[in-house]
Amino acid sequence: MFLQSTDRIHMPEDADAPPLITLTRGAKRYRGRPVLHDISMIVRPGTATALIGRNGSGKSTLLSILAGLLRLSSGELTYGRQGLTTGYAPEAFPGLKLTAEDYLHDMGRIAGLSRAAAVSRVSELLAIFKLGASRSHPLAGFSKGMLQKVNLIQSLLIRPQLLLLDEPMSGLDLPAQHMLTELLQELKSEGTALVFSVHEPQTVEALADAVYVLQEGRIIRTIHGAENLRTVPSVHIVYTDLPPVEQQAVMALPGVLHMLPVPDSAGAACTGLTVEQKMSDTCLQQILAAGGSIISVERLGGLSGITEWMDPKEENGSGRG
Amino acid sequence: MKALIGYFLRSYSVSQRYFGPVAGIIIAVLILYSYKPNPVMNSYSATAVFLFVACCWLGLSFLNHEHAVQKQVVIVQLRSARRYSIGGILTLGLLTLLLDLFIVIYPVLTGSFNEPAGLDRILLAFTGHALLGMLGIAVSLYLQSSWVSRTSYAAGLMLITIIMSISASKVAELVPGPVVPVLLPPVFPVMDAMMNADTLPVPTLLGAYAHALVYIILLTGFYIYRSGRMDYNKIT
Repeated sequence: MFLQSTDRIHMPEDADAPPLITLTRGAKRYRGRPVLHDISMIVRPGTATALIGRNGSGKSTLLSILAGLLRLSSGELTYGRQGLTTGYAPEAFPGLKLTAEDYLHDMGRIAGLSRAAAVSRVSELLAIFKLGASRSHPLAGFSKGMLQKVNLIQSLLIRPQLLLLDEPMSGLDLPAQHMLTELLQELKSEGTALVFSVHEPQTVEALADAVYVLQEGRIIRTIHGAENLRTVPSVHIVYTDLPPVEQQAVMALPGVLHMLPVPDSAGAACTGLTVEQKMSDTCLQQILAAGGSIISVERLGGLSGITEWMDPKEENGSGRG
Repeated sequence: MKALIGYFLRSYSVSQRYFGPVAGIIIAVLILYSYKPNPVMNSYSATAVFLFVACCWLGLSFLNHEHAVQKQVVIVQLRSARRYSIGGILTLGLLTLLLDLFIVIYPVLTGSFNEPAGLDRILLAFTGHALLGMLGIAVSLYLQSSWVSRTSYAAGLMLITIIMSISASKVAELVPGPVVPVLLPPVFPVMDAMMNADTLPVPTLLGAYAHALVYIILLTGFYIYRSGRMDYNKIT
């Protein structure tokens, strides 16, 4: 348990909850050069929205707009609540000369915490992020991962209603990534809206309810609903053709997703079968019992196209939905 | 706001960027008063101009000391870019008043004047220093990296502004009309009023001070207004 129950904001995710942020046809230009075009999105309490795409696709700019740091060149950004508390962890947090403790105390006080509350909250978060031993060291001597932890801590000092994270996993070691994922899941369940840019498909899988794919400043695809982000882990089996009756029997097994003819390297007729991972043993036994020979078995990923969309190759204008 | 000012003071002091302007003004004052005795208001007039120059430098170094990404973080924590700007101005005002206090009190304590300064003249000097100090700060607001991206341009513009402000009477001879008195920071009128404070009528003296005050209010007011409408990206 990362969070104290007394700090909770309000109810967990509610699909009908009024939006915290509504961005309508937002566009941003820098010195006449367009960097974001026609972006529309709604952020509701208790949801997690992932922004994915290549470097320079506009993810950080979009986060800065949501944080109120950049003004839209056109379009409209409306906040659903007065005095929305926002946490923001930017990319490339700088190594300042202040100690971690002094810096975080100051940020807590600036955010509105009392001195005692700031001290207590900073100690709590330093312990969670395993930075207690470095609390009195200047940030200038911190590694990239340690700086990222301080960056994340400052964004969590006041329990935010909206948490904006620019590549939050960047520089973190594996245990810290797992801990952060759990912490964010907990925040989300307590009503915090998360919007984050990310390059790790696992983070998308673990957290996101919606994914926006950006390319050259445009949203080229949106995926809503956690169920649409994932597929059941599956296995691809290639085996020598069976007689038609046995082939039909294999096809009729539960968990079979696809069956397609594939030639093997020797040119012999083979079948490629994609089956849910949990049913792969049964399929293999059935094929072998029917006299077939297994050519290969390959495990397939569990994410539906997320990895592909992390690096969109070309414009996919038809992808909205 | 107190927390923000405390953070700014801590952050600026560990950056050590204050050293140049603060050391500069202290050395200039020490050199000026190394000879005794000195005329009261003439000396104060000179140190007020020193403070104007030092505050231009101090303001620029303060406003540029913070990393742009950290500036973003503080603005989000504050939930207001304008409050961030006001906090910076108040911090600089505080530093200016501390320097002002040192500059005005030092010659009195060390007996560097040729006659007793008197409370009236000390108050006049304190106010004059505060005005020229804040004038320097107000000028520097527009030369920070988020307004003038190249440091060399900012430094050049600052030097030109300082030189033209101090020599405004000469510039006004070359450019007749109201342009020079209206546009240039009113360093010369305040300097002149302080220098001749013993002989000038009170309304003239207060007029010079009011001129500077209005100039400061306009510059800082517009700056605060604009700071709420600017972009804060990770570069500037």
